[in-house]
Order: sequence, then structure tokens, then C-alpha cells
Amino acid sequence: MMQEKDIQTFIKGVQEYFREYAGEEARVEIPYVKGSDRVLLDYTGAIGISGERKGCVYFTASGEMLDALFRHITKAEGSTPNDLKDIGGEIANTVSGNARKHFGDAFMISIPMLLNGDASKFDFDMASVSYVFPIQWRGYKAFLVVGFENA
Amino acid sequence: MAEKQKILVVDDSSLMRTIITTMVKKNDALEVVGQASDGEMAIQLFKEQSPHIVTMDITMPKVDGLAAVKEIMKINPNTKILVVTAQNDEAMAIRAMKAGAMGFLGKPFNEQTLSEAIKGLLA
Repeated sequence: MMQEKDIQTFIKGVQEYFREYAGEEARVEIPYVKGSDRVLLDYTGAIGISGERKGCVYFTASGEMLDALFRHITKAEGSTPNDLKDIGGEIANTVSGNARKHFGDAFMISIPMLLNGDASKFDFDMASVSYVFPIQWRGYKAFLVVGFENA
Repeated sequence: MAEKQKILVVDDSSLMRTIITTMVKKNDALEVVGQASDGEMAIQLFKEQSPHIVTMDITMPKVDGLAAVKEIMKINPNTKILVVTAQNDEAMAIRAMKAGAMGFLGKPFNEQTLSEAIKGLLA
């Protein structure tokens, strides 16, 4: 089971990402617990966790949200599906990487796996229990899903 | 007029390369001479462009950032490498410095912290 400090680590990680790059903080809600089935929206960036813990951390969001975020950061007029996959992967990477400060350097992270839509290609082993953090930013909804256990 | 400091930007995220490049371009003393999406490409571009400064991500495909730092330092030990990574813990900072990096910046960062980190390399 994740402890309060573990949960706060991920909430803070998401908030810091949005504070630095998105112009305003995202609202991250207290997570709810889910079984090993997955919450997946249009685009997903997933990071495998290995070392003392095994599992996965992923960020999943609608294309509309990622497009708005991409255009805010880059000032570009539009985005491509690759841009949206990339930004989802980078959010997952940043939040997972930052979590090493709390979990220690044996919390090892993979390069991001980037998906759009196709859940069948999601081949990370999630823990039997996952924590789903709902995220709100400018009226858009996304989720950070954290599912790992001791190896 | 002083010679511009050439920078190579290395990150597997195209968004992060864009963010860093956009911020660096605001400094007239700096010139981005290339972008690489993995360590292998970084080493190749380093050989071709001979940059003074490299911003280096850690978690990347093919060759990771730490291995790329070591390889670049073998080619030119005077290179100023700033590791820019989400793995912003002390253990990773020590590993980066041992590999040969001169600076360490955690993600997420802003224009001011990147600018200060680059100034630190040039001091």
C-alpha cells in the first residue's frame, strides 16, 4: 500500500510539471484505488519501474488536453500525433524521475513507452492494485496511474 | 565580438529539445548547432559540430546520457556538459559528475534556472 508521503510525491510531481511549463498549476485529486485493469485515454506515456520496486507509472490524457498543453508550451499553431505522444511520455518521465528523490535511487525508470489509443500495445506489468490520480487543467481531464509493488 | 558558444541539445523528447533550444536562443552569446534524440546521435553530432557545451538528458534509447557523457569527455575533455534530467536526486547528480558532467539541472526547470546553469558552466 502507498503511504501518504508516497501519494504526496506524485501529486507534487504533477503540480510542479504544470507550474513550470503550463503556466498554471494542475489540480491533482486524492487518488482512488483500482484493480489491474487500465484507465486509458487518447494518449499515454508509460514508464516501467524496476529495481527494488516493479511496475509502471503512466500518464494518460485526451488529445485535446495534450494539444492545448503543447500549443501553450511551444506557441505553435498546431500539433501532430507524435507531438502529443511525446508530451505524454515526458510528463510520465518527469513525474517518475522526480519520485526517485522520495523512493531512492533503486527506483529505476525506463525510457517512455508511447501509445495512442491502442490498449493492446500496453505491455507493462501493473501491480495488482493501482492508484489513479485524477488531474484537471483548464477544464481538461487526465490521469496519472501508479502501480508498483516491492520486487 | 566574442565567439558564440556552440551548444548541442540532447533529449529523447522533441518537446524538451524545443523548450531548451527556445530558451537558449534568447542568449546572443549562445548558438544551438544541433539536436540529438539519443546518446548515439549525440556522439555523432558532437564529432561533426564540436560544440563547446552539451545539454544532456539521461534516460534515452540506444546509448543513455551517462554513457554519452563519458564518450564525449574521451573525445574532448574540455567540453562543458550540463546534465538535464527528471532524475534529479543526489545519487544521479553524483553519477553525472563522476562521468564528467560539469553541471546538473533537474526537470522541470524554467528559463531562469536553465540560464543560471549555463552561466555556471561558462564562469
